[in-house]
Amino acid sequence: MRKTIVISNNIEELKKIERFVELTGDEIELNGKTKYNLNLILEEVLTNIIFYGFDEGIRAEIVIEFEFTDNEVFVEIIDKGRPFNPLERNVDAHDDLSEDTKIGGLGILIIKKLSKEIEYKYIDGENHLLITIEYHV
Amino acid sequence: MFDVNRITVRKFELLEISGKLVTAEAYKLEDEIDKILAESSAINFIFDLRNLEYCSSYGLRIFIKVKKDLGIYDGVVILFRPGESFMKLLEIAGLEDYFYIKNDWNNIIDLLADKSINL
Repeated sequence: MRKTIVISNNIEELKKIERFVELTGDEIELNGKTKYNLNLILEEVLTNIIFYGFDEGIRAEIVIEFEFTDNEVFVEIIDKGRPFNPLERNVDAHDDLSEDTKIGGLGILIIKKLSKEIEYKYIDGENHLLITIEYHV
Repeated sequence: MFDVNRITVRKFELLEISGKLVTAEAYKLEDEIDKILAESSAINFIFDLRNLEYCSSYGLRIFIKVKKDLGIYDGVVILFRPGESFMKLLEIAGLEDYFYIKNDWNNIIDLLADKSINL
């Protein structure tokens, strides 16, 4: 099953994602842990894009495409913000303890640890982040 | 999405946090805690997380910040009965040993006695 949702680069829009995960998860009978992980990964990825991807005042769309299979979900997140490859960042949670940044390293660490695979491409001015998440049994 | 219930007991602030600590709303908790830190003489915090259903990295960072802020005054931050998902978050972040995590009030009393903190 494929689904697409489009949000604007506003932190309030994350509520739409939470509702989407909840409703779609119920529809295809994902268990609570899978929904939790999917929601957490999306929240962390999208928070980074919304806070860091665009200059202040720029309004933009973020497209999130899902493909749900029998045992995993493929998610592609597409935005036209500044190029950012989270895989290139070496992350240590303790970095966050020594600085006052609110978003960043810890979120990327969560994305990497909870995802099965992550791939990043920059194509025609767009960031494409492809994430594979296994369902919890 | 989330609620905070505050109880002040002399040198302690007990904050019961319930619901979902999502990034879009976590700043409200941050504001609330900043207000408490500014007005309270307490330097020890217990966060009752029994009913916290969800926490983003932004939410976790708030607890880290409180511990850092209170650490200057030798304050203590205790997380009371965090759920499985919060513990997983700490594990991912490599912060399992960063906070005092207690699941029983008697353990909290023992910890405070060890640190010579009177309730």
